Amino acid sequence: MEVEDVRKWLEDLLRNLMEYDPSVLIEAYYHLASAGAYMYTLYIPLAIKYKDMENLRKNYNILFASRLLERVFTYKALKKEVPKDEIELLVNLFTYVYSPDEYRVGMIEVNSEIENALKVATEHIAWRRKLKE
Amino acid sequence: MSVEEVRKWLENLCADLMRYDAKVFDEAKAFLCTTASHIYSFTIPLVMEYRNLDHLKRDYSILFSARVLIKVDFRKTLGKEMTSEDIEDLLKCFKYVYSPKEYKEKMTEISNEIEHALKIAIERVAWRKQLEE
Repeated sequence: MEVEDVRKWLEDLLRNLMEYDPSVLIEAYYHLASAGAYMYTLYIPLAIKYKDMENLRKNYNILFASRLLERVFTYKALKKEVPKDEIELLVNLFTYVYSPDEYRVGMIEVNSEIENALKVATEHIAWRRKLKE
Repeated sequence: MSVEEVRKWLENLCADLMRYDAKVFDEAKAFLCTTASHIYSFTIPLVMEYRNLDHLKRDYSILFSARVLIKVDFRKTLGKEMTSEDIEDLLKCFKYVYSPKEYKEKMTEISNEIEHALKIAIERVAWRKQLEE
């Protein structure tokens, strides 16, 4: 798999996500950002103490997915498409962490994290609405 | 500065935080988690690409502050006090990342991060209330 495939996948993913309701995107972003922050509060000390970098890589899909959602709802709020340079930044972040052999697995993992976060977000919003009624 | 002093500081910090309003706390936690996740979604690829673990330390005070709030929030939600295991978990993360020479400076930095997040959270909660009225 090549960098061009990663770029194509990101363009399609961003386009699909732009269709979502902004409140769902924000809720999904909070969900992923807090999960990522919680994991890395522990993985970073371990990486520094034991030079164990593997956990940083293994769980990067969550951080990457949260950054991607944050970009989507920011541009949605601005009523603009995600610009090319933002897509290039995401391509760089992805390809710095994963090797070409890992691109496919990384893409599947990021998709699955986002899908799960959107599901959780939809449930959270429905639950809040029910509480208010 | 000794580890014992760091432990004492953490105990006092957590005890103070236990008294905050749950809504403010939740907002402060979201603020720190999203900031930290955003920073590290960029830092981790740089660390991977350039094999430089020093970058991980640079913004760890934000992640650590988020972990303190997450831990306190968890106990608050359960209506319980922080346990000695909670404090030891935080102490371990702190010790793994910082050298004894840095303890004092980092303690001040983390206290400031938390104070700043709580201040922002109070403003946001007031703003949301105003929107609802």
